Amino acid sequence: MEILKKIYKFIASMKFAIILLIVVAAACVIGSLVPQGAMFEQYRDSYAERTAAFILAFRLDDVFHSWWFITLTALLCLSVLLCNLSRVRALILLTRNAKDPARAIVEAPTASASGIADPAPVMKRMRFYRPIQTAVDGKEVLFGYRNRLGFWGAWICHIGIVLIVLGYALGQMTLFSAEVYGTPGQTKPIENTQYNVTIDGFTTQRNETGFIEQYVTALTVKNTQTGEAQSGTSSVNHPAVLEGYKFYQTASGDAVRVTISEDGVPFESADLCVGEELTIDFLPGFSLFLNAYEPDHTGSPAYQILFFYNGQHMEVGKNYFAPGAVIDLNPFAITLSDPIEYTLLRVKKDSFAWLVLIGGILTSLGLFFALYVVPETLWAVQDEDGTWTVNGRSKKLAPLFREQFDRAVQKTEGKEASK
Amino acid sequence: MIQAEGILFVVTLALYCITMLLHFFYVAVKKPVLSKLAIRIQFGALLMHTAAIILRGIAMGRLPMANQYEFSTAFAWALTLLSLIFILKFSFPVLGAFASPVMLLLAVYAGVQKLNELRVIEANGIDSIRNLMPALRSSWLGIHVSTVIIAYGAFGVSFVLSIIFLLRDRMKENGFWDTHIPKKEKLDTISYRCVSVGMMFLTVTIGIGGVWAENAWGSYWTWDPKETWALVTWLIYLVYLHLRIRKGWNGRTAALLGVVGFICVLFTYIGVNTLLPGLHSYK
Ligand code: HEM
Repeated sequence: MEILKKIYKFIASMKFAIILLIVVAAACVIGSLVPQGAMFEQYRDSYAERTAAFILAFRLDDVFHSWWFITLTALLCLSVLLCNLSRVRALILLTRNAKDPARAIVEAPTASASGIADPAPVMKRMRFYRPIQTAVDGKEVLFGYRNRLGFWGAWICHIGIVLIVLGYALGQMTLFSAEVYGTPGQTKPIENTQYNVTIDGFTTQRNETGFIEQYVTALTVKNTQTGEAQSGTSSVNHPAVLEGYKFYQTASGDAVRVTISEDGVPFESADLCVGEELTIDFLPGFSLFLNAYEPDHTGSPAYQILFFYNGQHMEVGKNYFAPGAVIDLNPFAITLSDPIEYTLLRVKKDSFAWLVLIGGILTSLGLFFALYVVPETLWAVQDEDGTWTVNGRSKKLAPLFREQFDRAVQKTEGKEASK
Repeated sequence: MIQAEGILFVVTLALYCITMLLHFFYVAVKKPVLSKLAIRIQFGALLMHTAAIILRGIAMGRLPMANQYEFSTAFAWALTLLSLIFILKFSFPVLGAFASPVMLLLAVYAGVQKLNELRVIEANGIDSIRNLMPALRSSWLGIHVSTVIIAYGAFGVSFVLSIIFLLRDRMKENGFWDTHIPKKEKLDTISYRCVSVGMMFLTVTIGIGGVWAENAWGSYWTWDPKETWALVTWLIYLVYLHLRIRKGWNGRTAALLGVVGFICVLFTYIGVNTLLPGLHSYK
């Protein structure tokens, strides 16, 4: 029991917190300096073999997802929670006592001045306009307090941080992320879901100088099981939210519309994006792959197309074809259109982003309360000779508070405050 | 318009030089009139700098906070503003003598960026800097950058105060320093106030950055180097805030952290862009 108590105390201690914060900061520095996600060979080439092995052993190649970084973060949360837990009673007492003159005035003041004929103007100058009039131990007392919320700032901030970490962890564990791309008119499935996406349109908005200002995709998302569908538009900085998924305008690229004809009669057409392969039903085993579109291939635009037969690359002597070209596969022919653009959308669903947002708001609010809502108490006690002793307390900003207090006394009484 | 902005910027630089020299003279000659003049000229420099930034915005037809020059000139502006506020609020003219070199250095760094930019304009035309890529065309950009320059400016003032704190021990014999620099306890508290401003604004900056990134890229946090270093800076100042609460740790240790924190700020601001490429590289 004793040992458990000791561990609890240590984890909830500020000392432990400070050590943890420094270690987490150091881990972040490492994670930003060591390139993340590279292969052993790349580390070996940049550093020594030994260092590369060390990097991999301690997951320095992926610091932010490593077991030790996650453990550190979890410990930080535990520490914050235990610290908060152990402080609740003290904080409630602090908050309660701060408004109780009998308890508040026995604690040591930060600043004090005696022999004051009338305390009200001093208090007014300290912006305590309506002090409570009461009696403590048979003595006349004027009493004011403010900003008790400040006591809770750190506590709220700590809760906020835990929510951020929790929301981030849950979000990462349940994150759905995929990509869909296509040309206007195409319908593509969203991997591992029952939804498909139809690209209804894709426009690139340019300003008068031809600079691209925005990419806009119009899309429809359809639940293939229920048949329900929802349409919307997605542009950079303005994702579409459809059927619970968010669609981010992420990239665009070149594509070609190929039209296949037999004896000059077109009978099939399909869009082929750069990086895609087209298999042709009536030529089993045969496929063509759009490797690139080069707007300036030796002076004029051209598609680079590779041909495959049963997965084997076929050398056909020619790989570059101008827009409008016809590839002759007698009796069939493949006609290449002018280039068209495809759009690439990232599809995401983070079911816990709201938790992180709430955590962030609480962290900011807590920080504001802790740093700017500074608790202050001001009280005046009438002495035997009928004059008053005015006292003030503000622990956090003591030197500044003392100066302000002295100035208030000086201005109203025309004399120095005694500290 | 862009030329007028350039001229105003050069005038601002000159005024920063004069401000610094006057602050130095004040400390050397100890005539209060010099400090009053220095503060007036610093105010004038601030106005001129503000005008330059506004003109820049008009010339660009957008908020002038999107590339490295615009950001660095805004950072220098924020430090000038905040040091002026702290000089006046705490009747602490000597702060000017320590803050003005940092101010000038930041402004000179902005000047170097400006020269780089002039080269880009010459090569690719003004539209190459006027136009913003779609991801930066967001109202979040303005808020994100405004809050971060205030944060960095406040951390800058806290850095200067920390240096003064650390030097104060060596200034004992000299009567001038003793009467013109607040006692250590007060210095520490003023620096804490600066860090408080900085932390509040840095927290909001990171939060807004997250909201923006969520809208632009679909992830509020990606461990991109700039984000990671902003977090490191945030953690260092968080350690500062916690250390101060422990008895006996405010003062010297806090001042040292104030210095380390600002080194982190500078690395986040300059080092990351030049050494660690990522989403924030303005490319
Ligand atoms: C990332 C995590 C943390 C954040 C964001 C945070 C934030 C804060 C803030 C803003 C304050 C107020 C500082 C001031 O008034 O100047 C504070 C105080 C404090 N923190 Fe933390 N903290 C964190 C971690 C921890 C941990 C792990 C502990 C564990 C023991 C801890 C214990 C305390 C204590 C005891 C105080 C003093 C409270 C008071 O004076 O009312 N903090 N914290």
